[in-house]
Amino acid sequence: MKRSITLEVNGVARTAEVEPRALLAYVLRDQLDLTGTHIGCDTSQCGACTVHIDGRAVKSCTVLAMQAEGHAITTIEGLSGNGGGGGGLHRLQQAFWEQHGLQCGFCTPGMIMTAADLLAHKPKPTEAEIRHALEGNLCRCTGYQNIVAAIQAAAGAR
Amino acid sequence: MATLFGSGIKRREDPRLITGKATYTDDVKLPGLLYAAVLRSTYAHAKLRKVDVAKAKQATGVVAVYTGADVKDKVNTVPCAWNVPNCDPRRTPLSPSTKSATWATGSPWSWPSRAPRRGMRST
Repeated sequence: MKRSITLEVNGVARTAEVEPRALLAYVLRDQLDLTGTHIGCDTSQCGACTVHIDGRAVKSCTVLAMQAEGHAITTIEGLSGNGGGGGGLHRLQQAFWEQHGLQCGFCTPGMIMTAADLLAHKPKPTEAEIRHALEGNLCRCTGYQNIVAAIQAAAGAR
Repeated sequence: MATLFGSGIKRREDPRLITGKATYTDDVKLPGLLYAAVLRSTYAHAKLRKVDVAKAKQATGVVAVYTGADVKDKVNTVPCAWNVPNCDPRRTPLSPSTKSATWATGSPWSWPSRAPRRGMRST
């Protein structure tokens, strides 16, 4: 019942034995040891599982691992150093840190991945556009204010 | 020292949180790790007559199933008390027992422990 698939994750070819029903979020976490992508709900609502597939933000809990074969997957672990000038933190990661855009940090990888997609396609979003883009990402700690501020800071930092 | 007050201080825990390197409970991986799920009441007020776990014990990957009878005298009850002024504070503790009535949706019925799930989360 299991099939061997090859996934390109953060620029590296990774193979995994997966059942057809296996969800990408679980394969990333359990088989590829990339636990930065989080699972926060059973309903595809929370967005803690957000990754990029071919540069677009998707909820990996709603993607079958086999669907992702042949596509470029980027997780939060693959974001460091991209768009931030060489190694080190991505400007979004730096901004979340400086603007106190996180408390427990559980939603943060998903927030950052969604924001990275937003800024890649809309470099100077309005506050309303930021909040709209984040509608699929839930946070129980911050009240979203500093998350929005972090994304604004990252957009302005360019 | 005077410049410290009111200045922005970056948190020390953030670097691992913003890079996905932190270890949350579900990120822990140990050899032989089992996963437990609590089966809770779906009725707001009901009498629990019987718990039959024979089928659950035989399900694939299940290592153990514990009911109230199994943990009686080994587990303390969970006190449920909310002191609302001028109200009768019901203090019936939540108990994993086949003998007590369940007061509220969410009271635990049983705990199956199973081997690592294969890509699907049990509820």
